[in-house]
Amino acid sequence: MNWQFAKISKIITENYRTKTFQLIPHEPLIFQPGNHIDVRLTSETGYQTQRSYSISSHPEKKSFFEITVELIEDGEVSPYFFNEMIEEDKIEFRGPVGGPFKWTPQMGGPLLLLAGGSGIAPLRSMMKQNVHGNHNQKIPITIAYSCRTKRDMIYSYEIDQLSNFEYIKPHFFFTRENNQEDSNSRINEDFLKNTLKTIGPKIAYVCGSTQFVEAMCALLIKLEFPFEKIKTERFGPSS
Amino acid sequence: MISRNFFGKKDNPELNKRLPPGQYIEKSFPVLTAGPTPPVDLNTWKFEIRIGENIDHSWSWEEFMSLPKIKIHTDIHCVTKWSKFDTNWEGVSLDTIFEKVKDLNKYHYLMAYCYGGYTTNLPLEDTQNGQAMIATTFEGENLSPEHGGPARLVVPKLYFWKSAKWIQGIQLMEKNKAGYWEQYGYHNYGDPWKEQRYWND
Repeated sequence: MNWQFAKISKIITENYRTKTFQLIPHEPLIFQPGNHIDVRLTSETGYQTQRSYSISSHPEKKSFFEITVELIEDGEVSPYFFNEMIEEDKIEFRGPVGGPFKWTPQMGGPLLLLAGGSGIAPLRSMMKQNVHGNHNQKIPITIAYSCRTKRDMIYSYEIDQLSNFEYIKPHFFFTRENNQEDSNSRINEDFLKNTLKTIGPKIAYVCGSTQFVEAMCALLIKLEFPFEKIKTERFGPSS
Repeated sequence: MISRNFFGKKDNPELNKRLPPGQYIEKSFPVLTAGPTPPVDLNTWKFEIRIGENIDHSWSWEEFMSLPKIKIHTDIHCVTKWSKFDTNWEGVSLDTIFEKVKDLNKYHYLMAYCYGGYTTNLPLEDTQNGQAMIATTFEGENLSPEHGGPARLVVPKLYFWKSAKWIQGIQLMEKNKAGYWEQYGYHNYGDPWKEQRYWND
């Protein structure tokens, strides 16, 4: 897979520690929701380092794609993206890279999407594909989005808009808001049990920290959701 | 392409001699798996050698734990870009496992297969002479489920997706065949020093 360039056409501040970078690739990028790209930075000394970022945009928008980068304070690459990069800058990347964590309309649904924090990025691409895609049958999607606080949410305006489509059902959870006694502040067994019963998802996509993914998968397996229908992407503690 | 004003705070020439291209040093131990962590029961756990579809040999957990153990001290390299230095593993050398196989030299490749359905392919010669083990401990502790416990393959010279978690057995093959990630576009061999991440790398 060859390295190529992309120009940053737009930088969108999602919250106090997350930005979305809209990129125009030199060669068009054909990808599926759930795919990621590898980004490579090179210093003047020749030192190079790479990171992977999920693509967060709609795959049928051929002219650009987006990645969403969360700032990790002591990281090496995310602070560079967050603090240094400006519109018109170029980045070097290759992709798309993908595995089983992908969804295309042909795979059908209904879908259960479980997002922890910035883990919502690839799931946003799936939702956009479903809403704006050029396929006839729209897929029912239930998304449960867990963040520390409201300030940590990203794409919140968009998700509100998406819920105008009757086939998208968002649920929000805030694990560190003041009302900690509220049992609804976490995606818990009751919520999942109820959701599995009501919507009967064909596939579940789980994306977030390892801790989030392990907890969600343990609940889904406990509730006898089929093991092979759970697709996961773990966003490491790495930068 | 030089990235404007990128200095690379992890650019440490001394340490980076030990770092394959494109990797960075990670102190924690991130988890990479395509699906959930599969439940594995030690009472029914088996480790098998298959020749074709036939089980040539198999060990229960108790039998497996009574095999002689070796230790490996090594750096590990994950295709998702992190490397972890100075890790310590203990387990059963594949050399010990292969002693049970008649006509081992008829085979040139193996497919590691796992609880949960994961597979990965390797050349046999890269798993011999102390280069590979079925690890049951990491840093002196029983291997935790999210890192592949109770037992995983460890082949440190290759990217770590080749070190299959939750290993159930090894199928010996005369010809090479692509495993799970290898079918999705990841490299058939996976040498981190040649940066063989994807097909055609």
